[in-house]
Amino acid sequence: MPKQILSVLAHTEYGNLEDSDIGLFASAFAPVAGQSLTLLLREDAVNYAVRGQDGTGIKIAGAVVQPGFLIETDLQSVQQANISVYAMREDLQERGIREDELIPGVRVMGRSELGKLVDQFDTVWNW
Amino acid sequence: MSAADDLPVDESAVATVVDNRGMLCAQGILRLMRTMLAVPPAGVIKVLSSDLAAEHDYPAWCRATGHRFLGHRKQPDPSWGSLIVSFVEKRPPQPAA
Repeated sequence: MPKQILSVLAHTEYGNLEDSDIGLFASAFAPVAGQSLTLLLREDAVNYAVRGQDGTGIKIAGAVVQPGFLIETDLQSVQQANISVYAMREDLQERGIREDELIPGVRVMGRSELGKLVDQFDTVWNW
Repeated sequence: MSAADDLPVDESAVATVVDNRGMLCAQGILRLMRTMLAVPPAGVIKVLSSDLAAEHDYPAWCRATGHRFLGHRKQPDPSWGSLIVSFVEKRPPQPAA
């Protein structure tokens, strides 16, 4: 039975030359260790779930982030690897993000459901 | 480790190459996943890795995600000493368990 992990991304990256979120890098790697992973976006990280964002052309201290911050592609990639992605409804609403703006396949859940979700996992990672 | 001549891979069938040289394998996995989005099922992806953990990580990732690991070889590289060159065949999406 693979270990069940809930990976919670609460912050967006800043000042980082990596081309993706460090928590997402680790989450994508979980299947290598035989772990079953689910991703939850909450707080500012719900911004990652908005479709149609262009993360190319970012420069930090003159250095270009290559090939760009490809968060939409990365979320689609993890979904294709059977990693479910959830976003917190209240955090979306507080930021003016409508559910019809989300990347297809992202599931929306309310804060009141969080405890029940967490109970399903052996481990919770917070990023 | 398979020798190059033993690999059951026709390199002319490679749809795209993922260059993960200079990266940790954990970073390379996400780059492979990105590339797979654009490759049709049965497409073959060649991955260049300087992180020797690739020898174990790509086969394990394929087992976990339903893709087919075709094999790999180790080859010398002037910048990185040696590379693991891996070949992965994209399989159709599996229904979530």
